[in-house]
Amino acid sequence: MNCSKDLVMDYVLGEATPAARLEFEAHVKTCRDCAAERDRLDVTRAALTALPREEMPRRIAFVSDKVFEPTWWQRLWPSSQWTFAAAGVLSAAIVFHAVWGQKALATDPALVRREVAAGIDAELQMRMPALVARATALAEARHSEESARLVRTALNAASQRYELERRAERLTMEANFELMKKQMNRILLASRDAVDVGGQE
Amino acid sequence: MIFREVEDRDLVAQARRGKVDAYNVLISRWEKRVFNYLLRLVGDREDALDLTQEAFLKAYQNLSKLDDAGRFSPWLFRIAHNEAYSLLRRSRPEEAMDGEPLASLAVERAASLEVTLAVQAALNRLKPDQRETVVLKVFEGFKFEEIAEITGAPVSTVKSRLYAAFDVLKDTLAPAGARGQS
Repeated sequence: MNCSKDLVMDYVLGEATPAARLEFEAHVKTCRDCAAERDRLDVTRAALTALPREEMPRRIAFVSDKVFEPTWWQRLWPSSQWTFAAAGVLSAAIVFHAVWGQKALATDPALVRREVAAGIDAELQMRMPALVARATALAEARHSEESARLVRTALNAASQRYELERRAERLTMEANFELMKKQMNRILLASRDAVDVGGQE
Repeated sequence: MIFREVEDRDLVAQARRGKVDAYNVLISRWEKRVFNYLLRLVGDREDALDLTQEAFLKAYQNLSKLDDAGRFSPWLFRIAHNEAYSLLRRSRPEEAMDGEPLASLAVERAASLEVTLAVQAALNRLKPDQRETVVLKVFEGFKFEEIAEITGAPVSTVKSRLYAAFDVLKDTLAPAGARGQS
């Protein structure tokens, strides 16, 4: 094997293949230059890895806010729109069949098909805007209700928290006042005892 | 490393489905390494932190474009690399290309101050692209192909940068004859 600077580097940096590693290890047993180069690169690499990693000034995290997440019906909205539309088409077909079905049986099939198709088109044209508008109104109403409920819940929680804080403050003040009273009494009693003892002497 | 790769892949899949918590796990796993890589590129802690945040944000916004979820880390470092070079070009266009010495890093917590200072001085002697290659190889443990992917340079260029960098570094950190070598 010939001396190769690239192979020494690949060996030290862990990029040599297993076969190349074995070959190089056999080579350095007889090549002092390559062995010396390997040692110098090892020392260099070890010195570099002694450099500590810096701590981050602040940690990073992304926030998931429930208020801004889509609700279940918002996730379903695009599909529910099409569900309403499909239901509209189906109901139009049923109505048309009920009205025109008997008449169609007694006439020419081709004519019946054309009439059926024309009837469905007309029914769809008439009903579709109303169905879509109804679906939209329903969705918006649910959205408003949900928003109002969230706001009510948040307000209730805030007022409860405020009440609890006030109560805690009041209790603390009462306790402090009681403690102060006791201390005053103790001082008063102590001063009376001192006066009594002085008088007796 | 194989287990780590599988876990990253799984977390990326969950994050793609909108689970922010899964992405936060990925952040906690990689933020310190990305921050240190950027710090050694730009030399300023606040800049490095801003760039780290920006890199994670861009990665999140573009998760759907990551072809192989198992290769999240080279892809993330590629974004961090682009962010850093974009900043360097904006703030000091001529210096970013010419190898301006890296600003001194904080060394107060170093176990051995002398070694840390010597390494710092040696790294400062490198050109920015050489220093970046050394950081990615030695500190972050990426393979040549991954470094090529991150830096957008061919593997042959990565190797030549690394070999040239080690020639400079070993003259400072392991001079010939210092340990009885010829």
